[in-house]
Amino acid sequence: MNKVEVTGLVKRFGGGRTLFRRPIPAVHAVRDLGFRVRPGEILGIVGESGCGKSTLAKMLVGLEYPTDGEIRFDGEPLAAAGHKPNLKVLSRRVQYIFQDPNSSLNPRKTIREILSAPLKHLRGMNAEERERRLAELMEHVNLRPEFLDRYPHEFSGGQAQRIGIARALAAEPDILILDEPVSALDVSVQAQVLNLLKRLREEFQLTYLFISHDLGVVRNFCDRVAVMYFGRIVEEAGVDDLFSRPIHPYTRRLLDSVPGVETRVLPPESDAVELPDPYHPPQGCAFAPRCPNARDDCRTSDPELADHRPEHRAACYHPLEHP
Amino acid sequence: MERQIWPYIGRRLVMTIPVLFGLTVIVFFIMALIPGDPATAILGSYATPENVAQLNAQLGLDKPLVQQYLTWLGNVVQGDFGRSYNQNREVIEIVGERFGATLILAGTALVLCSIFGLLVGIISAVYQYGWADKILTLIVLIGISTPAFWLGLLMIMLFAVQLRWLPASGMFAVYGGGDLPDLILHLILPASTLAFIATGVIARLTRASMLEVLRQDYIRTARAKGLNERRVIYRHAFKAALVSIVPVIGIQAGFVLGGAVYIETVFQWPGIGSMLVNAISTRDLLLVQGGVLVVAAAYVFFNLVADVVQVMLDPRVST
Amino acid sequence: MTTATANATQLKKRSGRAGPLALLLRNHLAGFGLVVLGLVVLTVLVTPWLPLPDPNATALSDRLLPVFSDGHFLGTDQLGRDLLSRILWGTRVSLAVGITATLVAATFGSVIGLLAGYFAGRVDGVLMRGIDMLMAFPYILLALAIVAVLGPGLLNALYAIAIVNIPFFARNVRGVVVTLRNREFVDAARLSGKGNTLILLTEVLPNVLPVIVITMSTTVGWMILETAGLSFLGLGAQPPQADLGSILGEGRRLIINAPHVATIPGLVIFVLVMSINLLGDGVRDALDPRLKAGALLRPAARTQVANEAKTAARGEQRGLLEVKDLHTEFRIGQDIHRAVNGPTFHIEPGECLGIIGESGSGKSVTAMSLLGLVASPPGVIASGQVNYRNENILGVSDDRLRHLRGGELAYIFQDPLSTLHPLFTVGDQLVEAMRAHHPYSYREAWDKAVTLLENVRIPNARERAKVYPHQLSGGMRQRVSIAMALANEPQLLIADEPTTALDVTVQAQILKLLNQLRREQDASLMFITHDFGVVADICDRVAVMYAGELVEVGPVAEVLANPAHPYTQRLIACVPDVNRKQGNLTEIPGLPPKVSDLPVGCKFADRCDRAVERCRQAPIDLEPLTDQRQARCIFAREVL
Repeated sequence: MNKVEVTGLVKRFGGGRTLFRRPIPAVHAVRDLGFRVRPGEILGIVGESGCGKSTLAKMLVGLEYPTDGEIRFDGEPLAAAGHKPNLKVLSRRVQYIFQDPNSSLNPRKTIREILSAPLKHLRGMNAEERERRLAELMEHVNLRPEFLDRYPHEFSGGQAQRIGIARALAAEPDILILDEPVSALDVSVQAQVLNLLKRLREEFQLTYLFISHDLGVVRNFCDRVAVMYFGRIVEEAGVDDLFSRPIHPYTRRLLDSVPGVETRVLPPESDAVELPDPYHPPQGCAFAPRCPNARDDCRTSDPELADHRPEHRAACYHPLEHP
Repeated sequence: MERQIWPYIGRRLVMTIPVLFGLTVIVFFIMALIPGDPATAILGSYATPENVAQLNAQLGLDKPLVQQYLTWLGNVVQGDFGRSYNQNREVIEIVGERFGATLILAGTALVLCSIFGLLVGIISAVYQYGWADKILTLIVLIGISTPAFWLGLLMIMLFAVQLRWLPASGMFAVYGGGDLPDLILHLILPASTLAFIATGVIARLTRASMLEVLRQDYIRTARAKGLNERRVIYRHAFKAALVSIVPVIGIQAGFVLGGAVYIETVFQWPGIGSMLVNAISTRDLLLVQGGVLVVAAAYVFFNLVADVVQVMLDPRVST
Repeated sequence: MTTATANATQLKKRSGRAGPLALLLRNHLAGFGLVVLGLVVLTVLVTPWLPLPDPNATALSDRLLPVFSDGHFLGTDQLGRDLLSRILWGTRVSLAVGITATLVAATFGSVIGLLAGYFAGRVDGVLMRGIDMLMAFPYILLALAIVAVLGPGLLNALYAIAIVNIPFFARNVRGVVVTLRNREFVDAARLSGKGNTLILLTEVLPNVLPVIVITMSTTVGWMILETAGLSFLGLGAQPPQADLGSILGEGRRLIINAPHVATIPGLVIFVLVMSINLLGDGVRDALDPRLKAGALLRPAARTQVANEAKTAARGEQRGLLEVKDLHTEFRIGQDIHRAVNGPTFHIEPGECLGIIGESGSGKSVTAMSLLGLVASPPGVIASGQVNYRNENILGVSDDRLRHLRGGELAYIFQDPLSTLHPLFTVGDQLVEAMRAHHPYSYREAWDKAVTLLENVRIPNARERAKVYPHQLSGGMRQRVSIAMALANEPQLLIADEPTTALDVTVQAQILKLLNQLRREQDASLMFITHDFGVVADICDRVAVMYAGELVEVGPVAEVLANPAHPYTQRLIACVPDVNRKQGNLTEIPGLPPKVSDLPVGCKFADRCDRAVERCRQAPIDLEPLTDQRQARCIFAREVL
């Protein structure tokens, strides 16, 4: 069974009309999204800002509610149809690691108070059990137990992110949603956190959904990758397959744009291109205006995500050729 | 991408209707809550119960409250605020007379305190922690801490009683006055007292906003372009600071209108404030109702102007 | 926030910071206010036990006695009552009413603000419309209306003043809560199983408390003034009850014959309110985190430069621009944070030099120091030289500096949204940049601005010149910044992480453009970044910075292929490769040293696996390895 299964997910912000009957502009942050994550797998979600990857992450942990579609964990729906999810139940199964480690820790609380909250409210531990568990958690993330009585501002970014990880582990989840967990960190610290996350996954048999815009990190951390553009998944495959033989021109464009890479496949992008306006989405494929392969059919209808090779899906009418 | 200012002003005007409506509701029901019976108040304590009931019916006071309100609202819309039973005149007449005087006093004070507030704030920010800043900050603090009515008395004692430079009270001289120079002479003391008290808030806010803006990245950009410091401060920083100052000037209009109550009482300025104080002590409630409503409406309108100015200054505010 | 202030803030956090009380006492005016207020409070507390006449005992034979009369220190009023006694008792009443009104307003206002800010949506709408309704009345007028309803009386005046002040608290608190609500720690608490009530009380409220305290301390004086005002008008305290306002009100008709009856109570109100306001300002300053971080200091037009750094350039300088032993530090309180510790480098004409380092390495501060753009205070350029055309820029006159800024030397900053002025059109900002250096007319400059926008490949430039920065996408905004930097045909462009805030595909475009334009105009480029990929793409030479020092300098290809300093080696190894899977990533253990407490020897020694005793004993010099390469490591030669 799949650990996570998402089908037909839609999230719309805005819409409706004001008191004076002026329409409120609607943005589809996520449009008809579907994917699966197998137990113990790391699925990377890659995309640029505004592609809807953070909205997706928030829906998976119940901080946002989908407009349409379904999310299932181990086959069970995240919430009963038409209801808000029960966070106390959901949070014991799925936890979240935030992008900005400093903003995700309350500046006026000690680390002990921050880490105790999930133990008390989600796991119902008494004081004695909590004390034991706190020490364990700090050990898991390589922090000294005396740090428990300090305040967040006394920690560096990397240390703060490890506290964030400890807080997520405290709930004993089996799925972690990692929303750009290292993008606020320097490279030298980034590696510390990524290696720690890898070790924890093995130790606790966790499943990760790893959201990032950094292709280098994704390549080295994930098992499979889904590329998002403008609220949809445009390509999905095993990490090596996707990076070495991408099908969708957008994926290729991303790979070509990484600074410092030696070989670039596509011709450089024209300077006049502009990203699609989220309030007035184009009719066909959202990438068509920027795509070197685009033809008429791309501009009239949006291609479905379909298998192009085994375990390799893409939403494109005119995929890149590979020898 | 030109923005449409006029439709915005139109919409904003439409949006004041519910506010004005709310004002009438509050004013009416506050007055309706007043313990005691107006009829008894009018007829005196020797009135017979029959007389009271008759007058109540005549005034419509035996009807349900909502109906009374609607009748009253209908009248108010037509400019009929009822009669002051103390002065036995139409409320609208008295208020109309008094309102002009208040507008002159409060308007002058508002202009003065805006000019001085902005100036003091800018100087304080530019010379932060310098001697000018320290002295101005202290003066501003004194202004904020001084009771307006006390300062008014001191001014009268000094300039009118001791030095005899300026008239102590009223709006015009009793004999031979009535022209503009006479009005200005009478205006100096009350307006400057009111302005002195009100300058502080604007000065402090200007200083704080200027300091905040001067830290922004775009000020560094302006300097990196090679602009001279005067241009950086007066064009780049001040314009950005003004965006957050303008709404406060709007709020300050309310403070000045309120402060006018004390100043008018002390200087016997024939404005709406002193009228209200008298009306409250004589429990002339229709007069209080009318006065409060008119001043509040003027204030709502002034805030609307402040909003529009802010929108014109800041292209980021959506219209 | 600029990188420099961000650094300063971060630095400040690490040093031992003074507690709010210590800060409060350090403020002389606030201390004075505290003492005066303390004396007043103490006096009125012991008033019942003082040997004073009954404040309400009339003695018509002793009417209107002047100040310093026998038995009546402050004289008597029109009924012969002892004024000193009346004022002391009146002050008790005024203080009690003011403080009570503040507490009432703070409680109701804060609750409304908390609920409205936290629950947003409909709750917010309903509550704040109510507050707006209260605010739609001019301040005192509402109090008058309330008193008119409730009838004159001290308690009614208290209610009126409290109600009138509720909006201040509600709006202030709501404002803070709205920003807190969007902070990630609230989401984190929700995912930790906390419900709304618990989050409001244990996560949000502790962060709002300082704001409530600040608002209280700045409004309590106000409320005392307003209650006194109502009493003055005869609508507050009713005889025989008396507060300062009513004593003054009764005395005001006597100002000609017996001025002391009115002036003394007024003076007491003033002293009381003034002391409270002085203290309130101190409390606000002590609790405001921005003030503590120095974020509210006015930055001077130019970084403060110590005399040691103003020395004239000697001999022939190297390259187009030469930086010699530059030291920039932040002086915050007793601490000195040495952000830049003596880098020496030069840029050849037409060359692109990359300066690479992690956050806090001093790379941005170095770039900002060149033209005195480091915020000062607290920044100070302590020593060194920045030589351009045989002239030390650090020592030139303000006029000359302005001429160089945006003229021959131009900057491009990191975040184009915050670095362009939000209230001027893009075209206006370009026009201004040109007219600061050339006597163009506005029309001429505008036409040139359009051409510049075309040069940075902005489509439909003539129309785009009329838009405001927020109407453009991030990439387009950065193109505008580049156009602005190129406006006066600079010799050197200093680009401080110009693509860090951009998406990867946009970054690729901007880098391409920047490189192209620089070659067209034959300008040199100093490129500050943290990304080796970017350096590899556009730089000729690279300088690696660590803890404010250059640890390695050399041609990009050689440094990347064969790094000489252990820090460079490990930093390159840390970068995950997009072309292959590496298994476990290399990490650098530990943290960079604190810039307020730097080690004597090699600053990387504590994180280096090759460090020996010698590394820690004395400063290590930046030694030449070849004529092109230098490194600051005793083992550097091994790589050759």
